[in-house]
Amino acid sequence: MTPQELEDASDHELLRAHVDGDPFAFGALFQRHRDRLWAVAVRTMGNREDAADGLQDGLVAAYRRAGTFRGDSAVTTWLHRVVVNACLDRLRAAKVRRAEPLPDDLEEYRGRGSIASASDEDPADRSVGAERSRLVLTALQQLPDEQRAALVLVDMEGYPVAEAAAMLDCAVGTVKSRCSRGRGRLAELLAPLLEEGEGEADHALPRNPDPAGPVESDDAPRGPPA
Amino acid sequence: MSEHDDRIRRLLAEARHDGPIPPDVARRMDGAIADLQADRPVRSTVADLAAARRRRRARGLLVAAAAVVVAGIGIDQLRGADLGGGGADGGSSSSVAGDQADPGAESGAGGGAGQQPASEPSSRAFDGEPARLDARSFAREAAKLRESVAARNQTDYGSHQSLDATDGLMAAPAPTCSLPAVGRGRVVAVRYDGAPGALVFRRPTGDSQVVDLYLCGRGEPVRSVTLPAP
Repeated sequence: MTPQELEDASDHELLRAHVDGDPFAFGALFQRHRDRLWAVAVRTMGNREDAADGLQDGLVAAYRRAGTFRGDSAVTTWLHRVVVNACLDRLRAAKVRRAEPLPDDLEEYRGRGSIASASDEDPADRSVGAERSRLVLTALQQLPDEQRAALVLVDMEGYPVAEAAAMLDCAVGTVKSRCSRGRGRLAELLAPLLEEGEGEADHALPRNPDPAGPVESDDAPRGPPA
Repeated sequence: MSEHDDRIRRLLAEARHDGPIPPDVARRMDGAIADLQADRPVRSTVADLAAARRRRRARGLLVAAAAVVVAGIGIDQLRGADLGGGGADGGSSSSVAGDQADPGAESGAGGGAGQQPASEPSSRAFDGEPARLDARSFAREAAKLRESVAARNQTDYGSHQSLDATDGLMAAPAPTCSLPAVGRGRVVAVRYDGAPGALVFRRPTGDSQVVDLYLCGRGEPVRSVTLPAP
């Protein structure tokens, strides 16, 4: 394929061309999706070095197994599946740096991204946001790998549950269950943050207490006359 | 869904990773793809790549012993036109950068009349403005730049023959900067997202050609791409 053809081709066409022997189709395909694959890898693995290893494992697997792609899902879904599974395999094999407190990209990407993206944002708000994200990511690393991967795909990356299930190669109900359990655990780990948020909400929206309801008797209800 | 669930979901969404893949990781992935294409063992870490580059650079420094001075190249064909416009009107002198001698590598295609003595700066100054590359379409623009430059020189850009030292050279314009020894390849000054630097077109291997991007003041390539061989 010429550079222009590589640019114009669909994902399926690129993958097919790769399987058929085009030496540049896979590179073009990977380049299209690598930022998002990287985002998933770095949040699943928790640090950039392991994420790079996981992403590369996934890349190699996808390159070599492209012929097994059946075409019954989007190519990007398949790519995510391969990369996420490569990351999970690494985590299972090595249980790497579970205690690593922080993904190190928070500092690296200070000034861009969701944590600190808006230039007109108050620096104090930005700092609070960065700290909040730091706490969230620290807590996320304490979850079981499968729960974390489900939450990264569904709650962080915004994939529909069904697509996340295809990426994780499991049932939709399993993804829902993992997300639910993961959120529950995060709620425990982040309780101070959640309470703080509730406090802020109360502060932000002051209002009178609800009017008291009618006074009820403490006595047990009477039965019908005997 | 409970209120806590909603709040947790919002917190997770806020903490998602929005930045692009870091340049060193992107380089590593490009290298892995190049290794796969060449049916070589895939190098596993960024450190390996960095070490390999250091070794390559050290070899180059033994003989080159001078920084590479990269200056703007005369791509007046490209000025005011899309990078890949093809520059069909030919006309004036060529605008390709030179080779850098690398004693550790085989001499390419007979060495060429323009092979520079190793002690001389191995890139050249050109008139005109460096080509402008956009990070979002780096591969496409690098390919188009190669085509434009090759068309202008009426040479096979992939043959890796050196150009005559006077070929296409004119007064050096700004921007000018120094780069470390970048290994063997054709050096073409560019501006990458506004930052001055140079593309280094490596010798094609099989059906592919690796292109490294160096920026002024950086010792390592900040980005690489593998193109179909010309």
